[in-house]
Amino acid sequence: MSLLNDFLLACQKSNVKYALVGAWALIQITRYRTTHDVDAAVLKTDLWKLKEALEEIGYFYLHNPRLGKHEFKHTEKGDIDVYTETIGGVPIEQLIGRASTIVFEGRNLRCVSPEDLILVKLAAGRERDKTDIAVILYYLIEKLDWHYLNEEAKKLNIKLGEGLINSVERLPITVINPHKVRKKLTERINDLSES
Amino acid sequence: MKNLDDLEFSILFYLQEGVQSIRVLSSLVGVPTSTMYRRIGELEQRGWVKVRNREISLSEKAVLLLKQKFEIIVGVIHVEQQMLDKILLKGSQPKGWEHQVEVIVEISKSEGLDYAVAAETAAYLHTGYQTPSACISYVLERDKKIWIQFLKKRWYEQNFEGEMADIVLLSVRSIPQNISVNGVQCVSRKRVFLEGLSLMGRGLLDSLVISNSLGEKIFLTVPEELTNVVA
Repeated sequence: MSLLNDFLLACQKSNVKYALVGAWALIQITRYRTTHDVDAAVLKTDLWKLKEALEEIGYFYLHNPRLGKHEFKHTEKGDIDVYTETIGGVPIEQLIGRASTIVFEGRNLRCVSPEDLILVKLAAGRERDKTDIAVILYYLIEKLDWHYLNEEAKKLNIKLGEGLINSVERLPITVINPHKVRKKLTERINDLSES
Repeated sequence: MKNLDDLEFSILFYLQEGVQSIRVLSSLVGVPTSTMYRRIGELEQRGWVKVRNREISLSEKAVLLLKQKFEIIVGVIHVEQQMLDKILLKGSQPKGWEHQVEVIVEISKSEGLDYAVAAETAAYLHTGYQTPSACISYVLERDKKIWIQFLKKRWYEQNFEGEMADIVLLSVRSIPQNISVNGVQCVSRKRVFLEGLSLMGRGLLDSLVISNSLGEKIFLTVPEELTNVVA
């Protein structure tokens, strides 16, 4: 069974509140690229229940204080990374509180909001994050809550406009007329972002 | 779009020294500003330079590539050239990348057409690490119309907006060297490595995964890391 299935079953069994972040959270927008790994926000009070449930099915636990995460490792399947404090500066309670449920392949998944996904990915700033942000903007630029994005970016000291414009340079190869799309997105980002 | 030429290499050379204006670059390279505008536009489209407030600088892709071995830089420029002529197609129903690969293999078998899947599709077939979002495949330039014709018969369309393609055909004069992976013709690992560097984004992660098996070293100038299972 996949890491995602293991994680979902463990959360369901132990009644753990969670929100998926990372590439799996993009599922709410489109089926884009993912690795096997799972990244999730989990309430600190629920961590022990999740730990018990995952250890039962062969995962071992490591606390990584440097990266602020709890790692559940499986020798063959990969890693489930769990955050209980903040991700990219956004508090876990906020991420979970704003998450929504989607149905994917017959299962209910809780995913962080597209705005929060943008914020945590801007904070991470890796190449893969830029492409994921570009995909979100491509599909949702007019539907995003720009007031929330602008306010949170200010709090987190993130240069929103610059980060988003930088990200749209990583539109995937599957986009038609990428130059035209990039130009259009850049103009809208300039209109909608305040920093 | 054509391949990078000596003028564009000169532009990249001067940009290594820092941000420049069009006027200064024109004077350094020795061409009229109108020519420089056009060439900068082309380099920007290919992701080699950034233009912000009339100032030109190297893009992160250019900065990363110029730190690599000469052999890798030349390889990336070569594969980038072969990925310029793209035909994007969208299926009538949402189906996964596996289905799109099956369609390409079926048409190839029934019509005797050559192909080799590339980029993210080949990367997944070689490594099983990062799932692809579409089937990306090289086809021969001379067969391009036949491929489109057969894909249209299967309800794929070319004119779609606001969605992403399910199949990307890269039209080339000769199909790159390839091998069969699980019954699918795939370009070599080395080529996938170069294609990932050319595409950047999640392509860089594909290149990093493959670099392990090739024994290649990527000098990273941007943050990126692999999970423990691969690393």
